[in-house]
Amino acid sequence: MSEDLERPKYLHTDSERGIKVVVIHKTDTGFGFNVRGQVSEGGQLRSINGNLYAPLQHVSAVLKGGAAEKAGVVKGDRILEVNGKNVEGTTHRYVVELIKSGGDQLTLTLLSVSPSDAEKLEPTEETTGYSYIDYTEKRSLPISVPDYHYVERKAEKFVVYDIYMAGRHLCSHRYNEFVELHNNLKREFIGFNFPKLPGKWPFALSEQQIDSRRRGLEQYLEKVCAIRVIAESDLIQEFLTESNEENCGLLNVEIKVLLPSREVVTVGVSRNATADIVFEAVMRKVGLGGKAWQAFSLFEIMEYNFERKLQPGEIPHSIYIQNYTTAAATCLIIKRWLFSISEEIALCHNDQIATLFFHQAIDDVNRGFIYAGERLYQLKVLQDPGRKHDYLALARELPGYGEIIFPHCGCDSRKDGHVIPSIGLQQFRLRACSEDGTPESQIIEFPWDIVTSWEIDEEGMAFCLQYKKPEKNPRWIRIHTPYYVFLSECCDKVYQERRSQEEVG
Amino acid sequence: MSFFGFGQSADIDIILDGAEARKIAEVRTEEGRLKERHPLYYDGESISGKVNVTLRKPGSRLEHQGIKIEFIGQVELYYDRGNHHEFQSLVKELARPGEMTHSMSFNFEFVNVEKHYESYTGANVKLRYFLRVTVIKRLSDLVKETDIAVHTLSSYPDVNSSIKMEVGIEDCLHIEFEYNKSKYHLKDVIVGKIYFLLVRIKIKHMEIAIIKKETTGAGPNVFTENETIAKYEIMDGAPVRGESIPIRVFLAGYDLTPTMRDIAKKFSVRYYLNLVLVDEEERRYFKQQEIILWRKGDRIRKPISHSSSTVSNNVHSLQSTAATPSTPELKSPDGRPHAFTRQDSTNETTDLMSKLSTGEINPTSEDPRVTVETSPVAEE
Repeated sequence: MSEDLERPKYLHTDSERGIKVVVIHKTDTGFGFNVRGQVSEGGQLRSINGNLYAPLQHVSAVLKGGAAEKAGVVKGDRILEVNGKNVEGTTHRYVVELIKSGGDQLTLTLLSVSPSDAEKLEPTEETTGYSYIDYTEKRSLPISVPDYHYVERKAEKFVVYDIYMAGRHLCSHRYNEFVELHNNLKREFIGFNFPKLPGKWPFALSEQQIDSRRRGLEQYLEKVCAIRVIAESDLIQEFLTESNEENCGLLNVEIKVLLPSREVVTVGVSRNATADIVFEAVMRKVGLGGKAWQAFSLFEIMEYNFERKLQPGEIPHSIYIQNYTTAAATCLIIKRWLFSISEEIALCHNDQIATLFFHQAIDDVNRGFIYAGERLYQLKVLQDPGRKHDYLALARELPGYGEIIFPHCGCDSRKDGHVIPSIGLQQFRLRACSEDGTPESQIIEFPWDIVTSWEIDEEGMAFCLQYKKPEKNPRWIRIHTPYYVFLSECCDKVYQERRSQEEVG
Repeated sequence: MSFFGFGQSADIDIILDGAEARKIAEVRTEEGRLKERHPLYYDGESISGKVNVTLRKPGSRLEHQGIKIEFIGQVELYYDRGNHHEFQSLVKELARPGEMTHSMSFNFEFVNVEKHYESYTGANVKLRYFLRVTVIKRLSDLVKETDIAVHTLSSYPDVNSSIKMEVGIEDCLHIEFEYNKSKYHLKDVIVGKIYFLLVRIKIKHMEIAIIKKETTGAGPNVFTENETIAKYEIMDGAPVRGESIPIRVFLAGYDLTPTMRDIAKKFSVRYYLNLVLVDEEERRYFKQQEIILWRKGDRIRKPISHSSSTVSNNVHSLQSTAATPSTPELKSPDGRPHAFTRQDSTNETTDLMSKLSTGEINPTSEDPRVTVETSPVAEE
């Protein structure tokens, strides 16, 4: 007999209700399907394809190439009849016995369901008790809504509330965006008792009402974000990082930036402003012109005593709101970005710029980057803004001035222990240290004229330097620092400054 | 909602299809007094009809930001007003933002709508389904809601495991009670008996009550509301050992709902039979036993294929309880029934607790969600 394997032959189909009757002939792999369903008898009637049925056993698996598959049985099919007998609401055991009772032949009346319906009918993880989400785990977040401002868009003026986290401006949202968040949260976290949002009001709000609403929204956010699962949910994360699509580019945020003197400067920029733009904004606010810009840059405070320069394309705001490594108001700081001392001296004619260098130097001395040694006392005496030029003059003579020192890290030329890389105008230096960073006595110096090239290895996360000592072969040295990009940038800057110096002098 | 007496500019009416032919369900209102009548729908049924928006002043215009209709199923907890938990929400747009210059009518259809839970109005919680039409306007929307009722149907075998238990207080009172089933439909009859094995106290009368327990809330704030739905005396006077008292309770006469467990993770409604014996000194001894109530569907569906026979249930008469899987008699190791020490005579009520052994069929422990998988492939 020729069997059409493409289209299974159904004895009888009721396509309107998705019902089909199939005949399965047992092969050496048996009937080739699994039955799954409830143990007990009876239950609530559920609608499938628009009709109500008692709980049905269903086909949970179909063996590929088996008898059931050939007969047209599909995974997920609900079993209505076995060998002519109705099995709606019956026990699992009864259905299995009926299947076995027919010997080698089996006639099934099946109800086909769509994959989405099959999912709904047999939920994979059903919680029998109360919701398993733990709402008791709380963690107080420093979230606040300290102010609001007006936005005018498409001839419509409305109020937008500014959300801050730990004193840093995250984003801004208008009232109905809060309402939407609230509704979405309620739908997602069914078991949780949500606090009330400040109410709706169809008319314009007075300043007092707006402020009262602001406070209400703040309380709402505080309470809701205190619950860990909610604070970490996608809904909240998106809400706190995004603003309205249209607002995105236009939204102004306030970013705080430190100066070398540890003063805080606040600038208003658009949220996705790049490091260049933010830097310029800060410099303008402080009143420094274009000349100063080449000697300073925007840095991110990474860890204790180390700051990383931001790349021009990076977006400071997102770093600003994510980096809380410092207890200070911000993780962004303006620092000197200049290796050449002669350049610096030239710039110091401008008193304001000199002040910046002055504070920078004090900081470096305090950290030990500039090795003061016995001159420390002298330095301290000069540590007064009125005597900054003298202070700087002294500091410039000390080793380590104008250098950038990196946190200790591993290096391929040293099997045990770490190194402390540092870069200055004259040389690239590696100082040996223990694995926990305690400096040791050994120091290797690579004056720039023996350095032939450098590059970064993204995958290996390392900075590679090639040098050639006279009468020797060129050699590579790999430094495994997480700041490999910054290190490379420092080398580029040094190279650039040395070249311009050569050209001048 | 109109402010300052400006008044609505238009009336909204929702007319459901097939309203004449559809059954009406009576739903209690919150106060418990009046009964509201709503059209009755079942799981999977489509909901269709039309929405009429009629302008009050002919010739006036109604400017709007869109008209939509929603089908919403929600749970409202009374102690948490204003916080509605929507477990079901469908929306259809009826009209795009624009201007209405004359009254209009919009057709709508929600196809094969899932309605897993039954409408319920209780002491602390309400579950309702409703259609809501919103005409979105600048200042305040025009809203109209109309409720529908939903019943959930179940199917259980006519004869199911009975409840049989021996309980008592050591040396004072031993009784064996039996109810013919553990699952009863709403129009069913509870048939049972109480058999006195040992009577050493002076019993004045015995009564049976149906208690409804509504539990709302989750975690630390759980409220339980007990309501005695029915109570009546089944025995008056002092029984002696060996006497058997019959019980017959007709459920159809009472206002009952099906047993609801953990609905939308928000509330449960469970029913208990409470057997109470009162002695001459007004001390009360009671035994509570849960029963599962379910709503039987009286809808007949078309036969599926040519030869279909119903499930061959064992047809047992109620007398032959021996044939049905009933509980074995509960006995402690020394043959006496387990008991709970009687409380002080100053206390009014005593719970006759029996230790549950593995053999007892307690309906509450049966989890219908237990599933098993078998592969009929493996043969000898």
